[in-house]
Amino acid sequence: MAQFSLYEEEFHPSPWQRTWAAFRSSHIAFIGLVILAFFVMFSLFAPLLAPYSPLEQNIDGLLIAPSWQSSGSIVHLFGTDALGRDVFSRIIYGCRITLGSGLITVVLALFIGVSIGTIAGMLSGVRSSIVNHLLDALMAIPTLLIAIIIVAILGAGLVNSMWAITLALIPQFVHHTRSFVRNEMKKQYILASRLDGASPWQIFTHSILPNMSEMLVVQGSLALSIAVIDISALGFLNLGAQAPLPELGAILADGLDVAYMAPWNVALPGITIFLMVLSINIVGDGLRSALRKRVTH
Amino acid sequence: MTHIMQVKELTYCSENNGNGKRGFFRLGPINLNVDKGETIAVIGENRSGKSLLAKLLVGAIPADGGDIELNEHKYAARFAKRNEQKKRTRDIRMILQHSSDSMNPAIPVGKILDEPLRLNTDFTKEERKRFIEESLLKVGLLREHYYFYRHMLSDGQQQRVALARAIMLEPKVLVADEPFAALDPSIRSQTVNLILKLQKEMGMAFIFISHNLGIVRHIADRIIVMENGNIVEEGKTETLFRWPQHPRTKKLVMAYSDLVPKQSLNE
Repeated sequence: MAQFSLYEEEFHPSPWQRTWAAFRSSHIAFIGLVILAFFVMFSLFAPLLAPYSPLEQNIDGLLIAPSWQSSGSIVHLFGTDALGRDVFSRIIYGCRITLGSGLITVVLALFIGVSIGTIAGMLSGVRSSIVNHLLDALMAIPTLLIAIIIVAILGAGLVNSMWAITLALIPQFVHHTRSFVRNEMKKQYILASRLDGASPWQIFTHSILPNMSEMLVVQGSLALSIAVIDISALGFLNLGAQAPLPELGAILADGLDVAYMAPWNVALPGITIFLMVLSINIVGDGLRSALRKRVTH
Repeated sequence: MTHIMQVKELTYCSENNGNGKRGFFRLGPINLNVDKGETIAVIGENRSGKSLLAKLLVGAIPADGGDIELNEHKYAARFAKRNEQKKRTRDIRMILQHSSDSMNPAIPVGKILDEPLRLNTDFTKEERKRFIEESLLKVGLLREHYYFYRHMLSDGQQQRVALARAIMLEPKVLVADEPFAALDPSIRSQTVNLILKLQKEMGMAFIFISHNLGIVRHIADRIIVMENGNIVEEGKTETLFRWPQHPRTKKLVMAYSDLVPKQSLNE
């Protein structure tokens, strides 16, 4: 066959650059990313960004209205609560606690779940079934309910609720990973790399893991939004983070006492939770379609 | 003539292959000699064990018994030791039936081709990259296909990548399972010529499975006819096409010559 001497393309985008380009082309996903970036920034730099300490009480300024109302002042941007604490600072610290503990929870659950699921998927026969179906019964129960039961045993507290949610999230990771790995193992390219002499571990890291990113992103973002909701729900029910700790659900519960007098105490943390979960889902969805575009277009 | 590969008493038995009526399938015992640089075609109807034979030869499925001897090196076909499998990987390579399924969609061509080198040679990263680029050129692709993903390549190009992957380790024997089935005629003849050229250059033996008797007649030196897991006839291509002995071979050759009107069996 004739060989042409053609100029080679100068620039070859790496897989991550391709994904980023596909992600950026969706405006909604990008807006979601910007919102999420705000929350991440709040969580990382909370001590620098917050004007007051979240626990500092000010008896002279109880229930000051937020700055956009005529009775409010710019000194307290989101007003103050029934103990005179600055709501803006509390929400910034709240993002840190809720989002941060949610992330830790999900990473832990993902790591454990994917490991167990992979082992179950690459094994065969009875052993695989036992590993897999052992945790299946837990999937029938909502995670929040499991978390409440575990917290009831371990006792209330933020760390206990994180453990509880981690345990509650593991089964779905196990299940999805296992069925995914089993499907992949049947495909021809796994046979091809086995013929190259790859060991099971090499097959997993080099052939299955690159295909798994889409599934991991979908499950991971789903789990993160569940974790955020569950942590704030446990905080709201007074089972998770305890009273002075500025956790978004706990702030919401505090504000409930004065909801008629000072509705911003309920509305603002509520809106924060809503935006956080929404942006996580949008970014997860955008990432998924970007990853899919990378291998189909 | 020295045999490069000798297959002795290769047997395989599957007991619970699906739930159909023909759940029980028995292959062999199969004896086969392959010479250096020889092209052997395996023909036969569906479910005659052709693909299974190919998979047993490369060691994708462990056989129940028998030996495969390659350059005086004896492999037990039944189970492979780790280091033996490694040598076998280098010596016998396979092109799988569906070349698009045999490429991982999530990693680029370069990485796919990197795998056999990474696992079987001591090359450094730069050497591997250079070697991969050379191999791409050798099969008629461009250097920049290194960065391409599966979905960016046509069927013919995917076939070339599969070929590059197979010949990279410079095997003694190349086994191909219907390598031309999914290609259109012009790409097919390109690929056939490419394989013949590479075979001549590298001096490897080429065993392929095909339903297309036209191609078989064109490129094969020897033909093996299989039925129900056994070799029923074996012979030089022209001999077999002109004087088929076994009824199965007669049927296959008749069906082919019906499509080629001017030929008759007893000329």
